Amino acid sequence: MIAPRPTIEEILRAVAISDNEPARQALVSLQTAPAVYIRLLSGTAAWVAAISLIACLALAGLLQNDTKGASLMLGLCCCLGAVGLRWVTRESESTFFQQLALSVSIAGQNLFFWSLWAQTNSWSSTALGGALLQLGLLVGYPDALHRFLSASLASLLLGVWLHHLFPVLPLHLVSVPLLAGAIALSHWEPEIEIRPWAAFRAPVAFGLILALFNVLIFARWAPETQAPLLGLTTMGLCCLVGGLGWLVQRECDISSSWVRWGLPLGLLLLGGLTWSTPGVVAALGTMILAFHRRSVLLLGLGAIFQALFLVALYYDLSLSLLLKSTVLVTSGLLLLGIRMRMLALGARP
Amino acid sequence: MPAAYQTSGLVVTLVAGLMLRLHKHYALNMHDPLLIPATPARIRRLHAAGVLSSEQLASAMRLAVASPQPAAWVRFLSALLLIVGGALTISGTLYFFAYNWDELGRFHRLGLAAGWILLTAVGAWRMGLEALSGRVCLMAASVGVGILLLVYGQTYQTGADDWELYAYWAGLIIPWVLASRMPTLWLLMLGLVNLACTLWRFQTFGKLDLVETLWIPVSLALLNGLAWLGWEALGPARSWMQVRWMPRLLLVMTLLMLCGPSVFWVLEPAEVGLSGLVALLLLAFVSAVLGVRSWRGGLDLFLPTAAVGAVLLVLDCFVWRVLFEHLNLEEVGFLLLALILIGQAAVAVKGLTRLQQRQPEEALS
Repeated sequence: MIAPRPTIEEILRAVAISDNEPARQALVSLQTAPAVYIRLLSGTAAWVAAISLIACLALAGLLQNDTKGASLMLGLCCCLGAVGLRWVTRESESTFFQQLALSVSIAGQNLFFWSLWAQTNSWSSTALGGALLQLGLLVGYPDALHRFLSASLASLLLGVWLHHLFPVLPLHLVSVPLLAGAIALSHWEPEIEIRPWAAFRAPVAFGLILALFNVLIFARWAPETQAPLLGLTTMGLCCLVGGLGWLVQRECDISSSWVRWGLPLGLLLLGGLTWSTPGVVAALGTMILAFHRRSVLLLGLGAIFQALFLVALYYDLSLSLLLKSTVLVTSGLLLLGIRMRMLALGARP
Repeated sequence: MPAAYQTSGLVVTLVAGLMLRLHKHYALNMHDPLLIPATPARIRRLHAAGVLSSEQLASAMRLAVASPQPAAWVRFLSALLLIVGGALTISGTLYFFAYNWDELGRFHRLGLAAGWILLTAVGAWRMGLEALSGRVCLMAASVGVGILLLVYGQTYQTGADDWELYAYWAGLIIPWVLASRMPTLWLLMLGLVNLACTLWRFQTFGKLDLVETLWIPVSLALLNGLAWLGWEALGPARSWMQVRWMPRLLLVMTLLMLCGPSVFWVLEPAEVGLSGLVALLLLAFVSAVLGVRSWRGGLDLFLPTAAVGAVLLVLDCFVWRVLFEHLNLEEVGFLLLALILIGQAAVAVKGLTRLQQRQPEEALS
């Protein structure tokens, strides 16, 4: 479904470079990052190794009767050591030390969280402390996968901290700034990617999306009293997806009045129908964002969560089975009708 | 026992033959680095190498990450609306019948299920299997066959075992699967065959011990492995079979089925017997062949990565047994386990990254 990116050759032709040989030489020597599934393998192994390390510390008695916060300091030291080790080995090809740094970092973070919770017995302090640690790791640990996880955890923990600070604000409302951040980082990708801090863009954008879905899943267990505020979150997300649609239209130079009016009307309808499940609009926005910036990974993430939230929508609709089926059939036929109209207006692919 | 050895030998010969055929289809695929997609990292690399000036960098970056053309957006939105709209309509219709199910008579129930199949099959025929809508209709018709069999079984209490339902379902949709040229429909049929085989073993032979139970995943691994090899061997000549997710999924299904008995054999060899050993040997054989094929180039890097993951899992269980059962280590054992895990993951990542560097198509796309 994703449109392919232009090739290097097409780009060179477009910027009027005729001699392609230097480009070929530059790309042949480019050290490509490991594929996503290799990173996944590495990350899983690091997690298991981290659990073993923590088990070793626990069996050695380092985590028992921890009244003076020794394990907190140990966790911090592990994180600092991991950052130092990763910085020292960032140019080297030693995967052993990189894997060691990743495992020690994960073990350190777990120790830190556990110890902070044990010391303070407070969600608010643990969330704030954890968020600060993750922000430090986001800046300090020079690895895209680690930065992605740190960005996701930091934003999630900041949301939890804000929620505990202002209990009147539901956690799911945090999803609005999270989606806004992801849209900004993705839409302005060309401008950000030529800045010195370009390495942070993709991990942070993906991390925000992962945090967004986590927040919306947690929202399902929000107190009943905050349920009406779900509509507010859905409205905010609809506005953001509408804004994204407008940005896409501007970039693609689409001036069709059908699209100009159809998008807000469609979003209004979708928002009204799914007000109790804001995840549906959020997943739709993610899928549009993924297509806009040709990210297969993001599209897959959006599709999986869209399926999950559509199932959740069924359970969230406080209607009888008959009315539920009517709502589902009506909205489905409406979407199919919009598709037919879109293709009939000469836009047939 | 000799029969089991003969069967294993026959299977290994068959797998080796198919592997050889797979080898012939893969050619070393060296691509021109200029024909790979332009990602921000590659554009920045060209700038760092002095190929692009600062002004050209900004233009190149805008072009590389530009939003797709309006026609591509229409295709995307069309597919999205069709899938979500179709799913909502189908689920809403099912809930409507669920609401009225108790009031419906047996003929109405059967008529509804048969009508569903007829409607969707005619829809697929009218729209054609080249269109996404036609393929969605055929998928719905294939699911409808299962619903019809289920309703029939419930209504007339045929006394048939569950495995028969899945076996008949898989058998009845074979013509559509063959005609459809749809990987998802092939996957549905393979899933049904897996389910039917598993249930057949349990429902026909009664209570099974651990050794007999573990032959089930080994048999399913062979079935899924043959499907994977067949897909890889026949895929290059057929455009609709060139999706990579299907053979990847088939290999993962094969490896998962082999991992279970292998882990059991590593942890409790005396209790598991031959099934675990056969699974372990098959796992080692498939991994070795994938490793050799990858080193020679041209193989999808996901395949050796999945095999490495499976081998590491079994190896770590062996290390666990040695450290905690034979050597009786405690905290030192966990420390050693962590270091071994880190070491083997580092070796695996290093090796796979080298393979990626050797395979420009995978590494650079």
